[in-house]
Amino acid sequence: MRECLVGNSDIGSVSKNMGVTRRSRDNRFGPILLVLCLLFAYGYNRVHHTGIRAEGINPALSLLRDYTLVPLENVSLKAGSLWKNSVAATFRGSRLAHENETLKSQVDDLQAQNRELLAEHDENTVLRQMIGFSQKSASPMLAAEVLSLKPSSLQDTLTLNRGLKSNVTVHSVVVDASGALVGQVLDATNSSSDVILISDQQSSVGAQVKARDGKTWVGICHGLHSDFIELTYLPVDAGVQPGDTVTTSGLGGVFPKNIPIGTIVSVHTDQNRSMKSADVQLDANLNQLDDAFVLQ
Amino acid sequence: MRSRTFPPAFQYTVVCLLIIFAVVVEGRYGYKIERNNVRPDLCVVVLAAVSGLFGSRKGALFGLLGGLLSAALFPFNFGTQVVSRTVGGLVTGNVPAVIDSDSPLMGPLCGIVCTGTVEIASVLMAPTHHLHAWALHVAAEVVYNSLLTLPVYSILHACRIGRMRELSLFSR
Repeated sequence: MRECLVGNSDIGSVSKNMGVTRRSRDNRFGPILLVLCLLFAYGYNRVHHTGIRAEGINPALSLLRDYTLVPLENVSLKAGSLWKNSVAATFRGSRLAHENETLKSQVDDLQAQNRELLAEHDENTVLRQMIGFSQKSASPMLAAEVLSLKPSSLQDTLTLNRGLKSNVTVHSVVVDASGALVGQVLDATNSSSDVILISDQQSSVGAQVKARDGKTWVGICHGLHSDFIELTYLPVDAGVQPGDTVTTSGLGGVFPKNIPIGTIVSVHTDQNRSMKSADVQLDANLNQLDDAFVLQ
Repeated sequence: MRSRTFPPAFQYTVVCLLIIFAVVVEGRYGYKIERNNVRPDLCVVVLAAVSGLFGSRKGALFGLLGGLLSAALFPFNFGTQVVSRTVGGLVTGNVPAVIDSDSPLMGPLCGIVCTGTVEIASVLMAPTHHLHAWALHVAAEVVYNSLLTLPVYSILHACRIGRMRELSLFSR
């Protein structure tokens, strides 16, 4: 008897015994395995959605993300930093020297501005005490690293390496290092959180524009899945112009007031001449985000 | 004639790590290789290659793993992602029955079949209103994925991943 097995087991094996060809029955359990996989997927999906509805820790997501993806993404972060700081830096010698000089002069300017601002802050505190205003405290911010950025072409989201253990809650607002609005937290596990970006088509932000005539106009910003967002529901007589700054209005209670969103680049009037809209260039660079801050 | 392959446990470990690596890389750098809103699904690329090498049963299991990890990375349509990749691995595992595994067309064909199956399963479970735009998007993604599946499949095939141990023709 001669026996020969070639290829993978699912194609089948052929054996010859007294001239009789017999195919193996490796695919016998194929349909059963498929049903088991689908049942497991269904059960896991139910656990996932139950976790979402309970608004607590999502066990399905926690198990996969916190114990598998997050540690590996942290490793890839560190590997990327090591590459940038050591290997890639050797090829950027001359550019580094020029960047160094530019940054030094910027630091000098910022230090001078900081001294002026500190003096004005002290004066502001004294004046508030004189007229009995309570001191406004800035929201504490939690620094976080971006583990994944826009992992799907369907929606603009990112994942941070801070979660429920770091007091990150759903609907927390996320900003970048310069304080520009990035998005809000959609879902959180113990060690990570999903953030929907303001560029996402399903994202809306209450916004305000301080026009050059001193008036403030309120509208709503919608994401366009690009580097621009659209500011809509502006009155037709709103005196907004390209170059005006857009910030959050604070209306709706989700986003605090006066967080920078972007700058108007163009203004349009609709066909019925009943409303204006504007294209806004985002301040935050959502295509190159390594760190973010969660407002607490 | 006798050729040696890696032990099955080693092969399965390599494939699982490859799938996890693909998901992590897609999360970190996937948007950088996006062109005209089309990007490759690296998890599906790896799944297509390993399903073509290991067959439909193991392809379904690897698809389940890939789907769970992709859904953990991007938890929208959680169940759809898991099921579509499971079915994609299962269907792609039958491609070796129609074409020789040593053929250079094997890798791209696995990429086409796997991507098409995953996308069709996804749209059946989570329908979209914009079918025309979806079809164009899928067509571009199929091309992108099949191009990437070719080197992945070729490398795994050359490393004898997914092959059974070949016995000597003269052994008794």
